[in-house]
Amino acid sequence: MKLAIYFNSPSLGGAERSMVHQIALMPKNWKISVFVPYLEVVSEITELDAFLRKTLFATFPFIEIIPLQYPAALYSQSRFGSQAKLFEVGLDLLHFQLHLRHFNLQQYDAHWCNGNKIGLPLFLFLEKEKCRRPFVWHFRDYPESRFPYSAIWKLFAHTRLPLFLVGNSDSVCSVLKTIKGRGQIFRLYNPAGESLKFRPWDGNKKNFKMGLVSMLAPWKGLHIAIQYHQWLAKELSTLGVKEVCIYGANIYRTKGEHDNYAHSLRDLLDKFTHETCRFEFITNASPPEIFSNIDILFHSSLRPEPFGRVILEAYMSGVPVISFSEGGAAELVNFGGYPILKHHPFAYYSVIKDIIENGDRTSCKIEQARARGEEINTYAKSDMEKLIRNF
Amino acid sequence: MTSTPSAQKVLITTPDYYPKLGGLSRFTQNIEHVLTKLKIPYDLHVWNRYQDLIASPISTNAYKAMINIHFLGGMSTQGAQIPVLNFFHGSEILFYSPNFFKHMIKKIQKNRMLRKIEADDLNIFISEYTLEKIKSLGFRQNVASDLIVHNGIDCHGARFVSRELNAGPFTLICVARDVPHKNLDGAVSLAKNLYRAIQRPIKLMLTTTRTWPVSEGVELVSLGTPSHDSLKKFVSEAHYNLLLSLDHSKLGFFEGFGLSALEAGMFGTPTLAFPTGGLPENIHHGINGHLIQSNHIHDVEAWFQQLTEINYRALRVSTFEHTIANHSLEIYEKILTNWQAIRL
Repeated sequence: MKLAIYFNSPSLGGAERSMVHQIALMPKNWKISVFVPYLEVVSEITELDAFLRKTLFATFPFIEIIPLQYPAALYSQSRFGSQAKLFEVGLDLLHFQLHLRHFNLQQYDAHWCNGNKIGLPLFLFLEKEKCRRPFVWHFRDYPESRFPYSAIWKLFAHTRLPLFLVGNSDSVCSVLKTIKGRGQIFRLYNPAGESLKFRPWDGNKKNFKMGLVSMLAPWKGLHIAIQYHQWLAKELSTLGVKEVCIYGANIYRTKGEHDNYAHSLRDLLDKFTHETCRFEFITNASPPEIFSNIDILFHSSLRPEPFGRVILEAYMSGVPVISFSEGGAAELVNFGGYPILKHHPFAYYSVIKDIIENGDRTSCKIEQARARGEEINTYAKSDMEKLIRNF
Repeated sequence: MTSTPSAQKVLITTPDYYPKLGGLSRFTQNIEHVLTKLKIPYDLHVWNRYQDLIASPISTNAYKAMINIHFLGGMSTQGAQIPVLNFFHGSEILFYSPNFFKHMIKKIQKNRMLRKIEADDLNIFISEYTLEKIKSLGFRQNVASDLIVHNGIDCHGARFVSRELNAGPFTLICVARDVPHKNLDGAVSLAKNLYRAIQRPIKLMLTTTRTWPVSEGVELVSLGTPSHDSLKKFVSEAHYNLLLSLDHSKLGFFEGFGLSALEAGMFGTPTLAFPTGGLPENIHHGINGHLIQSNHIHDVEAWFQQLTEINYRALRVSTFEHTIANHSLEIYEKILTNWQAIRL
């Protein structure tokens, strides 16, 4: 099998980590070409390239990385196209279609797109080339229902490509059913992948660090978490929670709601007092580093989360997870996590109090969480086997 | 007795105050209560009409901050630039008026007002729905200023009232103004469909003077405008509070959050609500009530059939605990205590 995998971004984010760990589950004798997009210079992909090599090259003898230049203006469009200059986007799309002709993509037995930015141009290209090889469109988020995507999904009803729509969770797959057209739907849970060390719960500690781990975007709810810690700083300090570590960056460089979000977070810190709470922003840390440093994870996503990779990583590290638990995240959080309602700061405080003051219960919960994490890892393998069988 | 210099005071502006009844009047008193508890001195400015504010702008000189119970209170001020906190409760953000000329004036002024709100220090929206609504009108959210804070109420006098599911007639109450979007007629239809479904006497109390024709099996009680204490008694003794508000955004009305659910929750009475406006953010299915898609007989029957004596008892307990733990005035104490603009 000769497989072409197309990454959606030059940056190493959660979706990219997950894809790399999913490649690790594929048959080792496959010939895999990994296309990684860059916008201006190839050095943009350095971190992702290094991660691919470190994770896969020792076990895959027939793997290669191919940098693929992607039009910067097209890349920067947000999912809603709200910033789109349609003419410019159309030209970029056309230009990219011409660029793809240089890669002899017809040589591949199957094509796998790790997201929408790369999915759409590849889909159009392969349709135009009358390709009849399996095409996997891997949804790393819920399919957007608004224009222009609502128009794009209609193409699925007319495609002659053997189309495989992959979702990260049952929740995403249930939405994919509404757009599938002629495609088949497969769930593919993300494996944890990283070498994460499980730490038993230490209820005797005096101080506990809260961790927020996500890209810096408003729907990730980091501002909500900061508000809670500002308003309840005294109460949380009494429990020993005096430090919040915020791991994340605006890695995807698209235009939209998350412009200026990082700046707004810092403004928010000045709006309310937080003498008894310290906030630290950290941009570069690996999952093992993150989860060995924090004691509790707050997964504050305000929108339904397709999966929640950080939750799985926390589970495998023995870190209790508090979450608004919407969408696919519930498939994790309902097993060993602490779900809370959005915009209920006192409920947040109560859960932290429960975690810290009931050490035995917390130990049981993180064991339950670890069991769920291991179950997900098992599903990740069997989901991949099932998908590959259908190629 | 030495009076506090204005420079140390906060200015509260409101369009409604006792003896005028209503949500904004009660909300104003709640904020006063919080400021008093926090020992933050304040002055209160009650305004009647926006035209009066335009004619006589409010002076902010020598106040350290301003709290507008209704955002229009901050739209016409003179004097020092001070930090401003606005509360947004629901429909007032729609810039709508049934009067054509007033509607036109609001439309013309909309952009100026939105820019002013964006520049204010803090804007508190009682629901995500309300915030998303004003964003759809062109408001640009800034997470550093624009907060979502669900309503808190004065829980003084809250007490858990136990009620058996199968004791007496199945009792419903609908505490709402008799205006179209509050859908009192929908509550009456629900009660009738419930009787058809379960063939058990139903009693529905409504805070209106309007009456309806007699209906088999359904006792409709028009309470008029009961006293505060009487209303508490009726609410505590009901099996369910009804909030079947309709989304009449195009006509200028929607349910921002649904205060009556909290007022019922203070006694353990759960709420049955339509999933419109901010109601889904208030009513948490199985925690403090249920959401129902319609008042048609099949939806009503499906809702009722899930209730048992045991889970209804548990629902009353969780409704009470949820309301007291999450919706007291303490949330405003936390925000105002920590707001840099007025910190002591």
